[in-house]
Amino acid sequence: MCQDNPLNWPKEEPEDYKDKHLFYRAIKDNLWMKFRDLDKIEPNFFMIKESEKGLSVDWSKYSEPRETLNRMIPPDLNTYGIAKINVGDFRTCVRINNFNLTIEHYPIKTSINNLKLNRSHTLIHGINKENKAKVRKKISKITCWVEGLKPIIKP
Amino acid sequence: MSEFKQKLDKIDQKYKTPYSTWKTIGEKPEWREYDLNFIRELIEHIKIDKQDNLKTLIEESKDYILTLPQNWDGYDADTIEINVLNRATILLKNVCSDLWKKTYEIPLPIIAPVPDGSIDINWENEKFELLINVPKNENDLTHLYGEHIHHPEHEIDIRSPSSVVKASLLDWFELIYNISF
Repeated sequence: MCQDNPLNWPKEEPEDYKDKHLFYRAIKDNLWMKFRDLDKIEPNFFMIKESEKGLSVDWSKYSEPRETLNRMIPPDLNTYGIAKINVGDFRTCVRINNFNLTIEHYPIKTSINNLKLNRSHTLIHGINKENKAKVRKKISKITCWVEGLKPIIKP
Repeated sequence: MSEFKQKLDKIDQKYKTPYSTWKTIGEKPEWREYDLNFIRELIEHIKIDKQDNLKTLIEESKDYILTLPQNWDGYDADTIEINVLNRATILLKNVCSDLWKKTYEIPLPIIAPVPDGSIDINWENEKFELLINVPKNENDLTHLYGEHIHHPEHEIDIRSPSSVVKASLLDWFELIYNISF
């Protein structure tokens, strides 16, 4: 069927992201392994290299959090935890703080360079040198671990 | 018994002179009067303890951060260069040194690597939250974002050259702690 062909996945508009939807992001052990308190989400979980297009997240419309984990290598909770952000909370945070952040649906339609097919893939644009401290601090406050997908700290 | 408690006991025994007395004030707990030298020595030990703890934090952070490999975050993060971490830790030591001269309520922060090659120094406690981002490129500005809990008017969100960051920070702490440096 045409709809199942990844190459035919349409790019959706920001308005299609409903407030009740969630963003999921895999957080690797090197970002949290030294923190004793894993109940907190730290600002350093949300940053990208300058060369990156935007902060990669998965959209709950097309992805379950377990699928986000399964796309990572290795796909286990000793290495990755899955964090979630409510889209409505994100929009509120952007509005209240007057952040210049935007959402772009960016489905990955071909598997190249370890990237797996991913219809839910989304980019959050606008985190940059000028705003990264406040933006990351505020986003960390509206983020939490997905139930059952909090990372496991090795003893 | 902790090392600090051992030090405390030693000072206590040293100063058990006729000038150190116990007093009972009504039903309140006993109060001990110490002479000024005791207080001074106690303060020095507290300061040294905090300095030791800071030194340990910095050494542990270096061991961990400088050994992070390429792609350490799973999204192709670069490794952290030693000069970036050195700039961050020097700033932290200088700020803590000045703060601890005036107040003992500043806890140790978290030193964290950031995927763009910068370093975060992050404080979160009941009184304030402060995030300092030391950039990868030393010619870039250092970003400070801070909140004084229950005082939104004291929010700080600035980017400063490294030469004036410490002064900006001390100004902010002076504001939220209502102290003078």
